[in-house]
Amino acid sequence: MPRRNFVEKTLLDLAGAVEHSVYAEELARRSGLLQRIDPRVKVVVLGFAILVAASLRSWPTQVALLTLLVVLLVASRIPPGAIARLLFGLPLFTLVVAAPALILVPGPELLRLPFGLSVTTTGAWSVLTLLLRVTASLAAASALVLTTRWADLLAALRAFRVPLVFVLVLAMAYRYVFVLLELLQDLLLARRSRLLRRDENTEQRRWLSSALGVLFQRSLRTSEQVYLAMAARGYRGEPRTLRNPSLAETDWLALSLGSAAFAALWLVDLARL
Amino acid sequence: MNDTTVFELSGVSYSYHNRIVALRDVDLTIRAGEALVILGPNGSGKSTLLKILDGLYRPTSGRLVAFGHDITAAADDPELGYWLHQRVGLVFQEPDVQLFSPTVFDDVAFGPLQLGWPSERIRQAVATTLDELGITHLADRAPFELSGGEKKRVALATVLVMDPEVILLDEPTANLDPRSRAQLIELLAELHRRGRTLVIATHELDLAAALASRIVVFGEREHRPIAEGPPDRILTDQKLLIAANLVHEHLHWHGPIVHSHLHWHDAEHQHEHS
Repeated sequence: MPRRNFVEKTLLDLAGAVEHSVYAEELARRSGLLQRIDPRVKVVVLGFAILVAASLRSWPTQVALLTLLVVLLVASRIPPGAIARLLFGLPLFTLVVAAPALILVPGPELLRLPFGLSVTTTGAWSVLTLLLRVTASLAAASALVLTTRWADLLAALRAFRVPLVFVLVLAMAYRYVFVLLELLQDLLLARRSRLLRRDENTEQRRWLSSALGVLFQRSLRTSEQVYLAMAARGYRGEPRTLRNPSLAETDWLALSLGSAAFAALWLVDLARL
Repeated sequence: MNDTTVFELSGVSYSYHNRIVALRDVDLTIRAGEALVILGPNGSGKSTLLKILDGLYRPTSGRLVAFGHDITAAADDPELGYWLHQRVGLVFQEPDVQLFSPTVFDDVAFGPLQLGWPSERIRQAVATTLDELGITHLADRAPFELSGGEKKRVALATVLVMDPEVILLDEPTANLDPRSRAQLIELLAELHRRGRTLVIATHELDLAAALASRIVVFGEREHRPIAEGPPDRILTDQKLLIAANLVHEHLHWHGPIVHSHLHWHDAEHQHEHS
């Protein structure tokens, strides 16, 4: 198996993004707890959870919030692997960014390091607090995105009076990125099928720039055709939408319980200070 | 079919960027209830003609009348275009450009929403159309999750839901597997039996044989009709089909038999078929 060049690696990553997106849609169709709740309620409650996550200061309430969110993810049939990645993968980046605070924040010494440096207790707490905040916020955002179909999420944004043009642009960008990625992959495979030797990086870069040119031309042509297809069905520049139906009783219940639980954590946190 | 004229084109021409000629001085009449097949090779102007008939392109010159109204300027007149799009639907060759909404349901509901129908009527019409085309199970799917055949059906649904009097179809069976192709042809035949006017642009002779009540052949150099008539006359005229680049001299079709002989030669030649 020949070693993949940087162009192929990039495209494989893009293909991976498409697969991930399809997988996320599949998760959103499962019959879990959050999947049964109206997207508008989820936007409000989980948005509130992110606010609470950013405000909590004591670690017990932060851990309680994180635990509650993980329980919601498990009850929504999100696979343990995805939850583990969420808890231990992404926050590592925060750790890298926050690491200097371990040493730089003044306070009682916790651990002596070489070169006269030391980790302080205050620094360790501040890094832990940041880590817990980021992880809880990520968990809340993931709970929304992984249990809500993209179309429903957009509809929820419309319900909150996000300008329709903005929502339409988001929807169409998401829609046509797949078409263009498919074309880019075809271009790559067509080139690879005619390669008889290992190509140099300079050649790869030249090819990539011409492929992007083709892609740009294609996206221009597609945008013109899409506009014509919209005009052919009566589009006159003003997006329209079906009015969202009213919330079910279970949605009101989820709204009340969810908001009350996160608000209670906030109050407990305030009382502890 | 009746004698009511749906479209009347007089001397219609169209050029892209005033340089590339797509249509040249086209005269054509399309009557209500007919299944007209515009037969022509790639680049003969078929797709451009459909976009002109749907009021999306304004002819460079000539006049276009639809349902008794002059609609030559429909591409530049939103009100005229809006009026036309309630009566005429266009199914594009490339279904990906027609399916731009997040889900199949949203795509099928798009047209009725633009027409300002009440919500309940839209939901009812979308459900009925999806059911008629056997694609109710696709309602919540995203377009990128559909196969080629499913995309074509959904694209047709996006037009049928608006209940247009005329349906324009650009290469409707392109890139379809045999089963999807047969199902689509049967569906179009049923629409024609129910009285819809169909205008189908294609270069596929078997599609024309299956659906056409009349055929107009477009020449690839002429960019205008070079022959017209009933399918049994047009499709048996080998000289015309060869001249119009719709069959090849050495690999072509005689009713149910495919005539094929591959060979090297250094000069053009003719042969007879019995």
